[in-house]
Amino acid sequence: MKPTPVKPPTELGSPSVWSLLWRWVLGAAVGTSVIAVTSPLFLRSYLPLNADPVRGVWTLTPDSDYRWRSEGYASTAIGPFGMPGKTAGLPGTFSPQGDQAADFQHAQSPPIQIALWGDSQAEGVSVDDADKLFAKIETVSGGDLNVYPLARSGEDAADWVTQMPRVEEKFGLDQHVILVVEPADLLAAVGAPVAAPSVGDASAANASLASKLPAFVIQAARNLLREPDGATPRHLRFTVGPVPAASEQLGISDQSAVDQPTETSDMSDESQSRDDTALWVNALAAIRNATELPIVLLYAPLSPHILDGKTRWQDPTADQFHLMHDAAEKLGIRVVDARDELRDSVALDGCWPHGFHNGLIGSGHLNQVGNEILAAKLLEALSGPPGDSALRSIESRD
Amino acid sequence: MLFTQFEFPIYFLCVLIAAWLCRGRRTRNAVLLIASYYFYAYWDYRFCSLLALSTIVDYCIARWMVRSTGTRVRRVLLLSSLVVNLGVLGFFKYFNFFIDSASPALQAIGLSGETLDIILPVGVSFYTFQTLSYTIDVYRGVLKPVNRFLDFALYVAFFPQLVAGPIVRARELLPQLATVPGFSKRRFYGGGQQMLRGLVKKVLLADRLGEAVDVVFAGPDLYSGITIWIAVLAYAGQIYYDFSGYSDIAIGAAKMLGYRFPVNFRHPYLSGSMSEFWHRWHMTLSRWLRDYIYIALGGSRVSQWVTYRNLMITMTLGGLWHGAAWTFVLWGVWHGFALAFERSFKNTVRFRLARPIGWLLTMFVILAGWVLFRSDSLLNAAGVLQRMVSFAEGVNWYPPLAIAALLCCVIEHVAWCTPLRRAMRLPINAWYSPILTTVMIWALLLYASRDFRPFVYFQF
Repeated sequence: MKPTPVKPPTELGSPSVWSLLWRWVLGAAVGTSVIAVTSPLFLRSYLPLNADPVRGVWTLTPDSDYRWRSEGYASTAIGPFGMPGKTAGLPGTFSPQGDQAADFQHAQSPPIQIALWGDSQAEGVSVDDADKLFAKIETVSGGDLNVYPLARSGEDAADWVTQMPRVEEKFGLDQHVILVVEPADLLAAVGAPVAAPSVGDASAANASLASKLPAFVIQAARNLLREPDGATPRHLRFTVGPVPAASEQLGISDQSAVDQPTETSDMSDESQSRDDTALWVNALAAIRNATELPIVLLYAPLSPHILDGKTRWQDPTADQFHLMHDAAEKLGIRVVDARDELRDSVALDGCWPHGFHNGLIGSGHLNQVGNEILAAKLLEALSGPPGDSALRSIESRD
Repeated sequence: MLFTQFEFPIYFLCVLIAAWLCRGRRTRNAVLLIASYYFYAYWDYRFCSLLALSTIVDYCIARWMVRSTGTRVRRVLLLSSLVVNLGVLGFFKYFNFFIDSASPALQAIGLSGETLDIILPVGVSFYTFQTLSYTIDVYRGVLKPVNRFLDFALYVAFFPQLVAGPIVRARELLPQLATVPGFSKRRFYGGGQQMLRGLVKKVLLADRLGEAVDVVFAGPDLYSGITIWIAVLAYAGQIYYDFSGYSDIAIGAAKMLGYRFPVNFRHPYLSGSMSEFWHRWHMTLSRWLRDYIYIALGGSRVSQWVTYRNLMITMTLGGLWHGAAWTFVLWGVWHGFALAFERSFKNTVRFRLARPIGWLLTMFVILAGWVLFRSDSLLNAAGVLQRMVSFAEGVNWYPPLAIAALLCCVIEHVAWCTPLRRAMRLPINAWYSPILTTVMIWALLLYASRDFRPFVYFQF
């Protein structure tokens, strides 16, 4: 009997290239599915944005969940008007359109209505909803305060002053509280647009992408196409080195960058100081003019913090704080300084009020401890004498 | 250029295509040489001259050496090579260290003792050892000098191993460069997989571990003993996965181009003794030290005490090779002492330690060594060790990403000890290979640290 000819195996030992190719295409699909299923455990979400007609800005879509997977590991339920974590006591499927917003304000009417402004530190997506600053304030007040968390990541005073009049009309607010972590954020109020920001800006592109693509694809594209700062488009370099330092590129030597004229330094310092003071007065005046309601600046810098392996107890923006405080006093804006409480938390209890960032504890966003401290401090200040501000405290309300 | 830069895949793809399109050996080697010099010039073109100098000097000396018959001439030629190569290395790497160390003595005799603003050329330690091995082998008569300058220049500058090894011997690579390698799909695939593995090791494990290490070593006095233990363990993981990741990428890249490089790591943290550790850790360096220093000093074919001395000298020089600082010197001394002690223990004691006990002791010695290796100064190292031993109080910080990465390292080591070892290479025909390959590529895109972290061994 003639033996059946045996087909020689390919070099790779597989039956055929086509079956191998098919196997790899299938495997790639399965591998991608594995990533699609597991990535929510490790990656933040990208939510489609919603053009909020009341606030006049792009906000996270109400009734959605936002995952944070960085220094914190929390999910945030997005409430009406894109308020992170603020869903309790509100209509579950509420969509803030037109007159519904007005209905909403009357549905729940706790004693004092407060709008909480700030950046990502006040937004608090890195902690659970119950541990967010607004929730802690409400809890500590025992229900005497109802706080609307209107802070959004990346915002500054330019955004707040344009939204303030719009929301207070709709929400029936009693006062505004601004969480100040970096005082420079307040300076943006100078020259802020009088009209509400347009919703037809570049955020529309993000809104569209996030609704069409899964988070892991957006994240991968972002890592691939952006520099580590997440904003600058990635540029590839194929020229030979060395790459000149930034100072060399600008044509200035390191020494000249460091050296300052000495002869007129005293005069310059004085005039600089005057300029700074004027700048702060203008900035806070812009905020003051945006609303007739009382304003509280809750000052909570990133302090204490660790630098070069040592705990730094000094406030890195203390100079700015003093200017801010003086200007606020002149304009009848109350300043609540939480630095001592933040400091004591670390010094006495060893509890850091900020989470970690790049592996370094104490350098991230406010955590549960930090929010508790700030809530208690704010309540203590609001319960106390109003000072020279036109603040309506809880006691006077009662 | 770094293997982890976004430019590298584009560069490498161009080199791959160009190399495999070349028919002749000469053209192929010329293309690879130009690509290698570009790879080096990407960092700083000025230092290409040093690379060229080292290449020309050793090529000429070896040619001259083979023509001369007198032992004395050959010895002078070898000495010239040593002077030039070690002179360059000494000036760029050790000048400031020696001036700093001798500063009090220099000031006492009226000299200034000022250091210079010197940039350490990347990879100088590695290519110096490669060229030296060539000249010494020719001198010893174990290697014929190469006729073709192009081949030798490529051997010295070949980009996968240029800046951080593995330290490939001339007798390993030069014969490969003398022919055009045949294309093998299996080898090409294997090289690609090894590069991917290396990237995962570096980007997903080493860099994540490094975040916790940098933070704690920046100010160890702040942290508790437990946190410092975590940081030291993380550093052990970081330096291993960083360097073995680099080696994997280098070996994989060479494999895709058709060349074989020696293995550089074989899971050294599974070693049951210090001598085993050095058979598994940075293998190409340890065999270089063995062949060109330890054996040259007499090796173990001398009395016990001289053997111990040889071990100490070899390891101290090995420590100094890693960096111009007393911490590195002491790290070398520490390892030399551990090796000598282990040898004397084996010579005097009849019983053998159970492997788990040997492993535990070895790990303690290695970890203590890494504290020296990572610390900025001897004082810092002493402080870290003291806090580790006393479980000092301080900030208790459990870095979650580093702990997760450490857990992955443990799992990877355990898997390597099981029959899964072969499967971990992801053979092309295995059903799971496409799935895991896809997962690894996505993971690199998604979970890489956004901060740029160069390879640890680049500083050496």
